Amino acid sequence: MITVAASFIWVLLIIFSASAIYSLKDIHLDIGKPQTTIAPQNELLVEFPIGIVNNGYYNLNELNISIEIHDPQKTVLAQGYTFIPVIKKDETLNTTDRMTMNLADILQAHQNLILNDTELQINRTVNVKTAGLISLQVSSNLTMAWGAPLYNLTFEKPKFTIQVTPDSTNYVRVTIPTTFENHAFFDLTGTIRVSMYDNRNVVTSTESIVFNEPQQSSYHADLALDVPATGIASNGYFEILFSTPFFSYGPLVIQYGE
Amino acid sequence: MANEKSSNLKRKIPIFRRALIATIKGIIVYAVYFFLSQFLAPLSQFIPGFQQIVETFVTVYIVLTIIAELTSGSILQHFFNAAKSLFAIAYLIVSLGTGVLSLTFQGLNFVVDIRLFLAIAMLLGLVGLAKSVLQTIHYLNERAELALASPQ
Repeated sequence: MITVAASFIWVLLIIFSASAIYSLKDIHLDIGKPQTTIAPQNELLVEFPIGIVNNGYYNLNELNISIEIHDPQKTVLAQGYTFIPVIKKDETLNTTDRMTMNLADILQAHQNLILNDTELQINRTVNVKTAGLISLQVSSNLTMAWGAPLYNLTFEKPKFTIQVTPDSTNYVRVTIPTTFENHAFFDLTGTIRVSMYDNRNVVTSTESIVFNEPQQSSYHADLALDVPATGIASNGYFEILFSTPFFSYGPLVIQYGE
Repeated sequence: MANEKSSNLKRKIPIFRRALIATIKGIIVYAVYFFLSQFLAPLSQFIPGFQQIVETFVTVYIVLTIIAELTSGSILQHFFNAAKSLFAIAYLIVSLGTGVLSLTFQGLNFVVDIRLFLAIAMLLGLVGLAKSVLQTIHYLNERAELALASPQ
């Protein structure tokens, strides 16, 4: 009797497990490509459309979708979780996994993202329990292009031009040709603050230049500041600081003179 | 002469009976495997070597079932029944490991957790083993009682 009962349970167990595993092939899970938008407070909103079609033999329980975004150094930039208690048999579910990234914090902590285009790694993991017996974890990786807001930032050699005003006051106009490309997926507005220091670390002139650079465009401008001719030292340096709602970058130092 | 023939036949009948039962049991186990293989076959697409693992298991299991049946009435039957249960447990452990299977399919990493299935299967194997041990004890007990009943 025990043999018959045990054999019966064996058969049931094998049929149940095999059908549960086999029915996993009839579950269609589609996590779409990320869509990015800038939310208020300068947060980057990343949305992943998720579609699940359960054509398997059993309900799906405790569906847990987690998405992590890493930089190339494997630092976690953002995480998102979606929990769905149950998806019944023959049911279709469409949802969106949203995660927000505080751009100011991220760019301040990872300044290489300000200057360099890169590929962000997205790790997607789905945990699900089917038939109350078998747990399944599916994970995959994909990449998301990150465009640097100050890509290829270059400063050419400062140029000094003596200017004479109508009242015969001599001053020197210093121009620093500056270029960068805004590869980011947001428009960049802010100020560039240029300060000129002499060889005794004394500020001789300061200027702020406002810029407004739409995404996917190039910035070409001369950072200009006027210095009284008497204030020009034989050598010194410039400090350049970028301030935008998303990040502050600098000061960058450019030497001049001998 | 006729008595000798009759005696030979009487000796052969239990052997034929055991062989017949062993054959029937072997066929039943194979039929169950054949039925279940319809469900298990699609899994071979996802788990490499799965078919071979199952076939090896079924082959050894049928051999042990037949041997156990052929040796019925002796203590060897219980040894082979115990061996069958131990084999089922050991084979599950060897083939399924910790019960967490990892595989990669079409660029996706799958981790299937079948520990609950493994635990139930182990318990069923242990039930079979316990049954074999109890049957062995019962068999030895009967032998001892028979020996006591007939001191000569």
